[in-house]
Amino acid sequence: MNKLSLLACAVLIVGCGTPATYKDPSGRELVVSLDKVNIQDFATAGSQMLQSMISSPSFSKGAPVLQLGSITNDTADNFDTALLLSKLTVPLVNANRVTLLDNDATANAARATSGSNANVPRAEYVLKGKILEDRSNAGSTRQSSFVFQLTLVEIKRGVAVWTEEKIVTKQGTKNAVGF
Amino acid sequence: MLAARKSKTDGGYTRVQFDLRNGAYLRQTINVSFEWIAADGTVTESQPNWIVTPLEPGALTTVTATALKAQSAECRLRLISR
Repeated sequence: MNKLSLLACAVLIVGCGTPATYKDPSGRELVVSLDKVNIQDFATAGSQMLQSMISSPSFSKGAPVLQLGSITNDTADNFDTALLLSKLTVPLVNANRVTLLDNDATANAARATSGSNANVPRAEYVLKGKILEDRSNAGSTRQSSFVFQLTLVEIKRGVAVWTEEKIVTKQGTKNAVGF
Repeated sequence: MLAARKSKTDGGYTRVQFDLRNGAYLRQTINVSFEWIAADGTVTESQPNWIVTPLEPGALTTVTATALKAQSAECRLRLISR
């Protein structure tokens, strides 16, 4: 009888797990991880950097020609840095605030074959950056800070005309759901 | 909310600024999001995420948003605190 009760309890516990559901990626019920950059961290850092970037004088008028440089992932977490860059480039391109140069081989070949007389835009700015992390703990409380750094370099003069750093810090004893 | 300001950038884009203060005795996490509206009432831009801003008791913060599109005339601030 005892064995049967234990089995029933085990089945009940297993059956009580939360089934997978779809969540709004911009909502507030997403998983918050202590050991990795979450999708909402890219969104937060990206939108804040976007706001800072469009306030710089380089973006005050017209649509400057922008080329994407390298974004170094210097964290222990493996992710595609396009997750951050897209938070900046998608709104800027769709609002006609930048002319974004395509970087792939086809675009480069088209540029090379069209020659110097063609109406091909030349990059005015390069956007580059780095993502870093810092971890510390006190007892069972863990803290992770992810540092997002971006710099906009004016190619003509070779100087940085805008630079920004955003830090996302998370603290707790275990991963959780919600903000 | 202590203050709301609206101005224009050099390029003619609308910029808004809100001063927020945590008037409670406990730490609060404020989630902020902006939505931009054209003069005819249509929504022109909406932010796809919440900006998480932890605020200590009595702390004051200023949130700023600049419109990406020239037709964005008004801003709607969405605010959730916990």
